[in-house]
Amino acid sequence: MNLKKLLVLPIFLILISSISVALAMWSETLKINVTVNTGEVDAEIVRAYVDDDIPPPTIKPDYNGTPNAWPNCTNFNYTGEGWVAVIKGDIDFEELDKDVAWAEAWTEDTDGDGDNDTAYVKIHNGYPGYMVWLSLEVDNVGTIPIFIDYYVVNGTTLTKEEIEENNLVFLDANGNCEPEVLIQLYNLLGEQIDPGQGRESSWRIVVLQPASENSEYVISVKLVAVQWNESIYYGKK
Amino acid sequence: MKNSTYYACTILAVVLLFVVLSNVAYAMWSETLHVNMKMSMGEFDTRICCYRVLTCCHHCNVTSQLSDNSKALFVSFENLHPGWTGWVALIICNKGTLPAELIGTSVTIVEASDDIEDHFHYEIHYYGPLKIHDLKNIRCCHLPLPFNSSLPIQFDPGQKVLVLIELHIDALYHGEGELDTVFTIRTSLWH
Repeated sequence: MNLKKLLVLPIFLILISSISVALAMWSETLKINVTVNTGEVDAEIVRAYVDDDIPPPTIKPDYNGTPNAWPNCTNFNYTGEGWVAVIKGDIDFEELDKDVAWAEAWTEDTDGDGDNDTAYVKIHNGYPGYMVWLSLEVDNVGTIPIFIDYYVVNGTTLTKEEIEENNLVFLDANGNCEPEVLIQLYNLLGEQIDPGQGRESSWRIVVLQPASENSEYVISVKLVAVQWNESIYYGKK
Repeated sequence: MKNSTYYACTILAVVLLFVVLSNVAYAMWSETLHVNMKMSMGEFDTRICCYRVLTCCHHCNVTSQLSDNSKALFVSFENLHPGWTGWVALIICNKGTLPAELIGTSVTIVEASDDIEDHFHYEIHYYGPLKIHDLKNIRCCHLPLPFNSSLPIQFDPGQKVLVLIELHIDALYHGEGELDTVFTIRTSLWH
């Protein structure tokens, strides 16, 4: 009786180990290593140019611009960066007989990634009526197609549809409904820019009559670029 | 009760994790370019930088004072008689950084004795732009000068315009009178 009991345990162990060996022999692990190299959404201002970039006196006279539309108080919204009104209209302009003001534009890489992400424009000795053209060229220097979805002008977000309908952006520094500066924006929005490609846009900047002498006005425009399939314009044509 | 709290905490943690990860993912896949513009305005500054009141009458009293902003000249004349002639010479300077235009000059009678204002006449002559520095050499007998200009006159920063105002009391006036006058320049940007 005791012998039988003693034999059961070794037999059971041998049986188990045999099965385990058999299982080990009949199994195999296959491995698939997947490496995902992600692309890059990256845009650069490759060129910022103003048409009046030589200090006077030159033989090239200034331009005088006058908007053919003027905002009223209800058009203005406070954005935290000043008062902004966006209305429909155009700018009438004429060549003057003197070279008085001038402007300069340059680009900088502010985040140190090797691409110029910021354009600076400086107008010197401005006066009411002075108008200058700013030309911007934006390239897709990443590896993924992009759209520029929005302009954000002094805190006001503008889409392609809004720019196409109303493209005169009036900026009022002190909230008295008397804007001092105007930008006429042209569209850079809603067009797919593939890697290696670029788009150019030309804006007009006008100093308006309420501008004060010896003062300084600041405008900030942000261009928000996103990967093409996340764009608000993706699939719209 | 314990289970429901456990599930609620789990769901909240998952949602928070999703939100946090979503934000990171979005930020990584967009790029913002900036255009910063700064506009410095010039200075428009035209003023009467030199003046002189000339009269050939020895017993006529003249007092003059420039306004605080140098845009106007206050002149008081006393003991004016029939046939009196005088001159007010103004040099208008452009001390700003922008070209200016002289549009005109206003002559206003602030106060007058009797009916002298009805017999008061003036004529304005403009010259420039010039590089004249002062009015030391101006004499009554030389006036008016030749080669006057017509309005408006453009003058750039640093340039000057000479304004000569001929004043006259006609012969129909009787007695001696007083006049308080203001001579004001009107300028604007050149365009």
